[in-house]
Amino acid sequence: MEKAEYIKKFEWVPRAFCVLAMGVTVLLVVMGKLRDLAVLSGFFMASISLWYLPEEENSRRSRWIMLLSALAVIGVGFLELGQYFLAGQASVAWAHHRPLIPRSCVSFLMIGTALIFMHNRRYYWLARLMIVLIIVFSLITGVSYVYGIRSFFIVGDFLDLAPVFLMLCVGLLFAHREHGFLRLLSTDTAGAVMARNLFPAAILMPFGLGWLMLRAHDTDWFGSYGVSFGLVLFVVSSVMIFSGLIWWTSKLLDGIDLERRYAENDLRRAYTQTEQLLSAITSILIGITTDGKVTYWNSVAELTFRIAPQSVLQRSLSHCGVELDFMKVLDGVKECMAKNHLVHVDDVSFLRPDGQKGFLGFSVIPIKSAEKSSWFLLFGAEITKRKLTNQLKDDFISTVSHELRTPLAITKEGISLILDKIVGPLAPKQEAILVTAKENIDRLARIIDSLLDVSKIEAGRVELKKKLLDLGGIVRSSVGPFERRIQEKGLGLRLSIPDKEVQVYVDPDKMTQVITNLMANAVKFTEKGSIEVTVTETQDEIRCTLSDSGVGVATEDLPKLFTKFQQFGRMHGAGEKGTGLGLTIAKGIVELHNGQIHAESTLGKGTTISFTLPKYVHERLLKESVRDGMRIAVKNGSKTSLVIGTIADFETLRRKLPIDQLNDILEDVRGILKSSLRQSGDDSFQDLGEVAVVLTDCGKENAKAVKSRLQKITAETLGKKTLADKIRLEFGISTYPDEAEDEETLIQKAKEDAKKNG
Amino acid sequence: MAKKKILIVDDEAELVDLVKIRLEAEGYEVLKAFDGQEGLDKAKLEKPDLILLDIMMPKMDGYKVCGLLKMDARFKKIPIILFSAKAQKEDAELAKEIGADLYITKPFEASVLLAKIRELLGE
Repeated sequence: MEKAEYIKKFEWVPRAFCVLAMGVTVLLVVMGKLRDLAVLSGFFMASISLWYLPEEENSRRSRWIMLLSALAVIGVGFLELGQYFLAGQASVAWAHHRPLIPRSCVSFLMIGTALIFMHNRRYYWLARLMIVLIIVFSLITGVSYVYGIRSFFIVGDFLDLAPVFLMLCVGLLFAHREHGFLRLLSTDTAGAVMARNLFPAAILMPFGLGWLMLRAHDTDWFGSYGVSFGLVLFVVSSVMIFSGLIWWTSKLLDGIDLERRYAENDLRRAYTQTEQLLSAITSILIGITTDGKVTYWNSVAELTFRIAPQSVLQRSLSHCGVELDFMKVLDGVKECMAKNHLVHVDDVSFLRPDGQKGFLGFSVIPIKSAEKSSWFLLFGAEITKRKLTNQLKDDFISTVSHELRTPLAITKEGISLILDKIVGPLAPKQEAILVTAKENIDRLARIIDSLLDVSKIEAGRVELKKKLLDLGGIVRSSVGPFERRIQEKGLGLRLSIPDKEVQVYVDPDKMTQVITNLMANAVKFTEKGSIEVTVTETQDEIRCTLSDSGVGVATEDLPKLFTKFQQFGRMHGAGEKGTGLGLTIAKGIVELHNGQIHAESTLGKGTTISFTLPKYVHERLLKESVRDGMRIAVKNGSKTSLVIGTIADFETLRRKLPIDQLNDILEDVRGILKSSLRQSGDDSFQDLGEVAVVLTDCGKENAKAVKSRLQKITAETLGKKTLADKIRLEFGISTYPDEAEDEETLIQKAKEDAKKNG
Repeated sequence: MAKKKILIVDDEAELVDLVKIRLEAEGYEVLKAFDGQEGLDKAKLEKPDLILLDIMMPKMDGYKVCGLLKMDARFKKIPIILFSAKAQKEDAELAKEIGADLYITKPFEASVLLAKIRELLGE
């Protein structure tokens, strides 16, 4: 059981004593033994103070109640003490009843002090001392009364009050979370077991045996041997009972101890086994916390990075001099944190011990404790060789394609020369044959192109140059080149694209390639009817659908549609022939954009292929773009800056101006930003009330220049539109890696800077 | 009017010969060079009206020839068409960066090439 839990479970104990104390007090009042209002309120205050003592996470209010009540108790002690000393003098008129004896007064003082110091770690011993003293006082008085010793201790009122004091003190002993009796009640440690076994005996036995001995002495049970025989009985019983108890307890403790030793042995064995297992692993093993601190670093990691564990442990991975693309690794950790299951990170570049650039592949495994991943295990292996093989394959394909193209170019130009009748006349039949030859040379060239594309996609070597664009625009311009063919074939073409811009964050060339490939298939396989292209926007994604009324694909062939070199209905195709790679490439590109592609078809009726793209979300894309910028900065050893422009008092403005007008203004501002960017690598984003620009390879000074230029141009433009008095833009900058290590902080810093400048 | 001079630089002699036939048929004067160095020398010596330049060549590659000519004030006005069997996007971007006026991949469409040549020559 967790510590806090068992304490919660037994929190009622001190309060029960509290209630008991109050009960006894009420009983005393009813019996007429307690008439003093001050004493009554003293007990009441002490009970209140004790009531609030065990509360978990004491609130300010209950702390004050506790303290004030304790002080009141001390006050009662002083008041009674004063009364006692003044009682002898006749002039004290208000002492209308018999004052308390000093023992009771001091008890009040002590219990108040104990209540105050109960939660003070430093003076807890003082509180405990007070409690023990009161208990001793009360017990001596109580026991004396029970045993009938009336001469000394029964003088005065302390006898009546002793039970209340006793209850309060026992309650106090249980009240403390760390040291109190509470602990002994509920844990199963050896100490607690022993205490639980011996305490009752230690308390009850002397009472019982003492009484027995006294009875023997007084009533002459054993004749003339009475006194001595009583003593003998006492001694023998004590010895027997205590020995029995100790024997029983020691057996119990032995059991616990043995269990513990077994557990310890098991643990040691498991630990040795784990150690052996870990040392047998030939992979890099790194433990890392959620905030990037290294917690484990095995010998393989030491060998690979030539950094000893002691200079890495408990430090941030990015700060311990490891020559590693840690950004990529940390991205993997972040992804793992979000998904909460294993994530693979490939192609992490690092500096090999021989000084060469190498590559590592990592598996990031979340290590869970209580449902939440608290740290991560990075399992790494060098993949340089595999990577090199891939590289060789890529180079090979690239070389082959180059080597194939050159003779192809010569053949094509030769045939073209003849076809264009530059070198002499040509019979119609000869011309027809040469046209076919030329067409197939073009086809071969297309296959080579596609093959290159596919191999690049498969090797993950496609670098997307994403921009914020209107998908409708991309669709229109991609469909354009097909219009003539569609007309020639007598087909219909319907585009249903929203009037409003459908913003997507994509690589324009690649997206055009996707739509072109899909369109080419649709046009090729449709002989009658029409082709429809639809762009729709849902809550969380953007969908583009191409439907045709063409030959369709058999249901059993659908799953193979996106595999390489699968061609269906080839016999129907007249004119330009396919490569069998178009859909594979389309799928690859869509998936690179975190989208999905899906096909439906009915043989003879037509095919519908639709793909989705993630919706443009300012925050996420800004982060993505900033991260890309940071990665470029790490690669080039340069800096990346972020300029954020926010509209001052945007909320007020939003209420005053219609939303459309506001959007137009923001669109204008983004246009200005876009046109004044330095290079194509810079990205700009717009959200309600905010525009952002990521400047790659750009330090603070350059960013400042860009910022002031942006400030000037936006001011001018707003002035021209007579909006300068209505709208004010505040710009802020932040630079990686000088100001922040991660994208969120960088964005935050830029926003703060903008606010500061406003 | 004097014939316009076009310099073709490519180590593939057969291709050069074929293109020469077409360009001469179109009424241009055609000069040939078979490696980068020769191309550069001929360009400086003959000052052609346009250069068709391959990229992968012995001695000096097309990028370098193009770069050197474009940096030289005397020759930078000469339009240069880089044509190569390297069809990757990066190649086209690099060509643009070093100042080539056009990038055409092999195999090329003769009619397109001719149209572009006429356009660059301002015809």
